[in-house]
Amino acid sequence: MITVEGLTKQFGPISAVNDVAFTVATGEVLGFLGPNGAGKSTTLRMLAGYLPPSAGTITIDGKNIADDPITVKKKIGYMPETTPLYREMTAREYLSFIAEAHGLSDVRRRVQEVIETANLGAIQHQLTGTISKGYRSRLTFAAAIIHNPPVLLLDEPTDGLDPNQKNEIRRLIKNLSRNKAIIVSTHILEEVEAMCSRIIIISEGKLVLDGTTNDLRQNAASNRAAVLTIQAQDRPAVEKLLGCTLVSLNAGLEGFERFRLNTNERPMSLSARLSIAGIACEESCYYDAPLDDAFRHLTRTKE
Amino acid sequence: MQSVWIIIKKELRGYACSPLAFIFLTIFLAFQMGFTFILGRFYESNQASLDIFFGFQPWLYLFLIPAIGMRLWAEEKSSGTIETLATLPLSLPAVIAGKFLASWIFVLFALLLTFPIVITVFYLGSPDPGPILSGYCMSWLMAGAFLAITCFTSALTRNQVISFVLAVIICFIFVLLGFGVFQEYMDFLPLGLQDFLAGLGFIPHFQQAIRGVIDLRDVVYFISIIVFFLILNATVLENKRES
Repeated sequence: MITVEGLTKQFGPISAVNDVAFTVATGEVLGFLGPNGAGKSTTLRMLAGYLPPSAGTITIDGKNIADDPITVKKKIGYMPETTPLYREMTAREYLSFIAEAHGLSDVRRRVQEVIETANLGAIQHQLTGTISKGYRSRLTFAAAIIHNPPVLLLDEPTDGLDPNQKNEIRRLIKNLSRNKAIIVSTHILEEVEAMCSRIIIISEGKLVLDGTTNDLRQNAASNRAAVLTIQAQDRPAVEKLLGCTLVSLNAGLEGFERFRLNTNERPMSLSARLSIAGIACEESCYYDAPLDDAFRHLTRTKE
Repeated sequence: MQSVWIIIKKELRGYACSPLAFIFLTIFLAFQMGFTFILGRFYESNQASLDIFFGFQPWLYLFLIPAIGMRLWAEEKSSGTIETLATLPLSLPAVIAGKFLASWIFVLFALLLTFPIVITVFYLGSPDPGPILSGYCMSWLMAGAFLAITCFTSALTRNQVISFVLAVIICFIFVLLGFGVFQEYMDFLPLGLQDFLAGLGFIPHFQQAIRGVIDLRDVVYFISIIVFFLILNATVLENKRES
């Protein structure tokens, strides 16, 4: 549904996005990750037709956005990061304006539908300049889906929301994902796990990873590590036996403690060696690196 | 066409809800009448015509039209809504035309509210209706030229004050170019250039209409100014999306 090739954006001498390429199919939710300033918003702005790319092509549903911007824009729902709204309009008026601009024939019905979907009933007659941050996000989200577009671009849709509101938006996105191609930009990794089927990471304008969350984990340097749960008093003996230092993770019950150790050996053979030596080992497994570690490793800037 | 109408509706709603619009209407009418009756000595002139009334209009427009138009793009930029607007399936010319027309309609509304003065001259004497009608038409057209300049300066910046000041400066040049007193300062220029520059000024093109003559050349002149500055407006918006 979305095909991006060689996408580049130069702002004077600075290249904000550099030769980025990826595709998103209908039914996919693509997590678009990267540190602040990596070029996420710039990429989405180009996809939404706001910024013209310096080089490269963007194809939505088989049509190049540069050739026929109006037709392509009808297929895109875009939620900008800054949640801009017309302050002098009420929430309902704002949604009607967006619906009319998309040329919808049944404006009234669609406005009512998205007000219900995004749970905006309470503030529908309030001026948008006076509503809270949570409602602003939901209102711009509602505006992005009002014309039921096959492509959704959401730039940090849960930024500044409380945990309940975050969950609600995630649930909405998941519900919509069946018949849409969705790109969600974020720097919150738990969010990616919660709703994305695939992720891409950009750093300093370049694509550094395109895959699943598991791919991301495997990319982490800390992946070649294991976790052992043993009696705390056995620690010196185990360190001597395996020839490496143990790092304490957390204490367990009945004198057991979880340790992490960097090793290339498989957890199974580790536990076998311990049992031969007569040391009780309650658990041995791969160390499941938090996504944060992997993320940090991939996007670390060269200093 | 449909998209132009959608934008006109949105902008007019903005005017209807904004206190600025009402302040503007009050100031416009107060100054218009103040100039005519006090500065222009309308009664003492003893003439059943609106010459005096129209004569002050370019100077009034010089400050008031930039005040109406300064927010058109600057506000979209400062609040970020320009991003929403640019990603809607609306063409740029349609949005520019819609915004311009909405403000122009608002100016027409303000102009029509000066109707008591027309009633006054008809009550006091028997004026020739021709110059009054042609004066009003050309006045609105001239206001369009002021407005197009303001649209352009508003697109240059996200700061409404800067947009206002720039618009006043550019409009001031156009008003001065055809103004008698200023003409003397251009003596050092070759005669052909003097005439050309004087021909670019607003006032000479407006004066004919006050006398009751609508010259097609004057109409074409004001429409050209409007189109020229709206095209500049589009060029600026196309090239300044970088921020």
